[in-house]
Amino acid sequence: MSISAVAISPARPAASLRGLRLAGALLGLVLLSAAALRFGFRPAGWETVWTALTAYDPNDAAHIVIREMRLPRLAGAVLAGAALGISGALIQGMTRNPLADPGLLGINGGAALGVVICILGFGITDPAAFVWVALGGALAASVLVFLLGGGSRANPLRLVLAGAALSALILALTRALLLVSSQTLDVFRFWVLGGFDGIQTATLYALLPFLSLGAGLAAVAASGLNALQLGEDTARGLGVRTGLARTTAGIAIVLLCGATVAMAGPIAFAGLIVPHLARWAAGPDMGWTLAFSAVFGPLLLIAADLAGRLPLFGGNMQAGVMTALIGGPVLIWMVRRNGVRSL
Amino acid sequence: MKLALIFPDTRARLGAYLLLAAAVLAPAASAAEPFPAVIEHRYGATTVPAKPQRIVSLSYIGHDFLLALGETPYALRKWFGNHPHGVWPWAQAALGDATPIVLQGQIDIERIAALEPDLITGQWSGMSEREYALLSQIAPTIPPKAAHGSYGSPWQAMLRTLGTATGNAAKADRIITRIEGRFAAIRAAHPEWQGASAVMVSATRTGAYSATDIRGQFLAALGFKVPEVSDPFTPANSYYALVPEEDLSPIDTDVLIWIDAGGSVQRLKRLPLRHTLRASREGREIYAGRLLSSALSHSSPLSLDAALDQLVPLLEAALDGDPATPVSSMAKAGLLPEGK
Repeated sequence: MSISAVAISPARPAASLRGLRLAGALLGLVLLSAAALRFGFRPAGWETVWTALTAYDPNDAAHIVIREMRLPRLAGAVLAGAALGISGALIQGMTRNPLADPGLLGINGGAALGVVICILGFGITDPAAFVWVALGGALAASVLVFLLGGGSRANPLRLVLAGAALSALILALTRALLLVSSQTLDVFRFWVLGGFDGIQTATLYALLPFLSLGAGLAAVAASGLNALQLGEDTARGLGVRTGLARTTAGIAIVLLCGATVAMAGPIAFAGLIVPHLARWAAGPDMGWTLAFSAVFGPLLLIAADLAGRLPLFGGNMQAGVMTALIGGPVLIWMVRRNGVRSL
Repeated sequence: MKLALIFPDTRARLGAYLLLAAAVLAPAASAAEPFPAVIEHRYGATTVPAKPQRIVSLSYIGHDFLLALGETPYALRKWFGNHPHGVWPWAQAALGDATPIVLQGQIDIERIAALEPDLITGQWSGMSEREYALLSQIAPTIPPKAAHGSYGSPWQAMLRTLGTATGNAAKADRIITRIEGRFAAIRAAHPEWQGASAVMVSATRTGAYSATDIRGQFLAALGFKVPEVSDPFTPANSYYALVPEEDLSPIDTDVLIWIDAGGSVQRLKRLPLRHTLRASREGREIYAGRLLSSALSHSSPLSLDAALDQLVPLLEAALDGDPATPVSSMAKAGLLPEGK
């Protein structure tokens, strides 16, 4: 290993360095958020951004774009990014599988099936109306996966297998329904990419309790998961109630991912890559990994949403498509630099 | 030269007269004889040997055309909507008590083979060249013409082709003359529409139908100019282009028709920049609900009349020059701004 590789992935960074990194990431988040308000398909200056926020004119098209479109999108990207980052870190820590991501537990599949039934059965094509069916589908499917995976005694392997099997089953069912109706397909194919266009402030408020509770439970589960990283027996020996830690983390994952998929559709890849970036910056501690994930997730999704709104991509590319386009090269770069920590 | 000199016998003379008559009439008779009919298209040419009895219609809208010609398809491909046998209300009378088999989803070659058709029609079906090759082995198959693309066949061309293929060419021409006459009369009665800009936009995704789309062709037939809206990501799709929600200026036309096949009124209400459009501020938006938007999306000899019946009064209200005149479909959908 070269000296520089050691330097970028220290096993245990000094506490002050870690704090500095988190502060830097937060500063980056503020700057990127400002950029997300200013740049997009329709050009606007800093002055326009400022007046749109402080002296809003509901008849000015530029103000409407910033206040009514970019601001809710930004809020959605921040919430979804933090939720996906945290739940990705939890599920990777819980299953000790670096390839695990929230899509694995049947959450996305369940939400998708709920949305298809909503369109096909009730003729509803308004994405804002998908929120509760998507959330319901996500919760139902993930509860089923946890039960199949063995409940509170779930061993990681059984859980992942149950999730993969049920996801495949639900996906097949969803596709069978989609084949029946070309109209359903048209609305669904945009929802399933995931993104923040047309996101409602009311939706964000409605989902905030789920997200807050999920984030709270994630913080509670952190110390238990830390101990689990040493192995099941060692953790028990240290007096950690491993079943309880896993259940708490599981509920946190379901709440966070369920609310995210209800808000923005199944956004792929963010939950997979963000925890890797976070562990690279934070070191092995789960609490710090969660904190970094909660900042890196929004960074990735804001960048993805902003890039999708640039004229370069036609001003209409879904954030869910851009996450992999942006995140993929970052992950490859990390792997090449030996920056990926094993679990 | 007198025939009597060559054929002195009366009976022989009569026979010669008949022969001569047959020789004169024969070419005319074979020109009127419709079969075998040869139809040129994007993948080559198809010969229909005799009048078809079992027609399988794979076009999403083609059954309307066959019904207009008095032909009931043996099987048809349902597009959308929950109507008996996949046929919308405007075509119910023409369908009568017939109960065609309803196909749904992708083109299923095996299923079609089992139906033993003697003609397969597929303009507006998205049939690939490979599917065409397979279907042609089952029965004479008619894809769209090269110039029209998968979903761009003008209704006249589509009807004329199906008329030729089913031995109803004259009937097809009569229908075309009648409907084109109706369009011409409407154009003549509305000189203010000529050259005005108009566009149909999907309310579900804010996607504009281009001039090459059948909905664009419909507006052009009324004299409107349809703006070209391009989609940088799917340039091959020349029928439809998503409009960036941050900039709706490409669809800021003299009259803006929202196409909603169902459930997108709430989305339209919330579309943040809608109220900044000239068409919105000046009351020149039209909401086309499920039936009207579907009639426009079919643009068939049966649905065009239904579409004109509904749309013309709405266009008159939108383009009367007075922003205060409410467009009834907008009011009914609750899409007019407060206080109007």
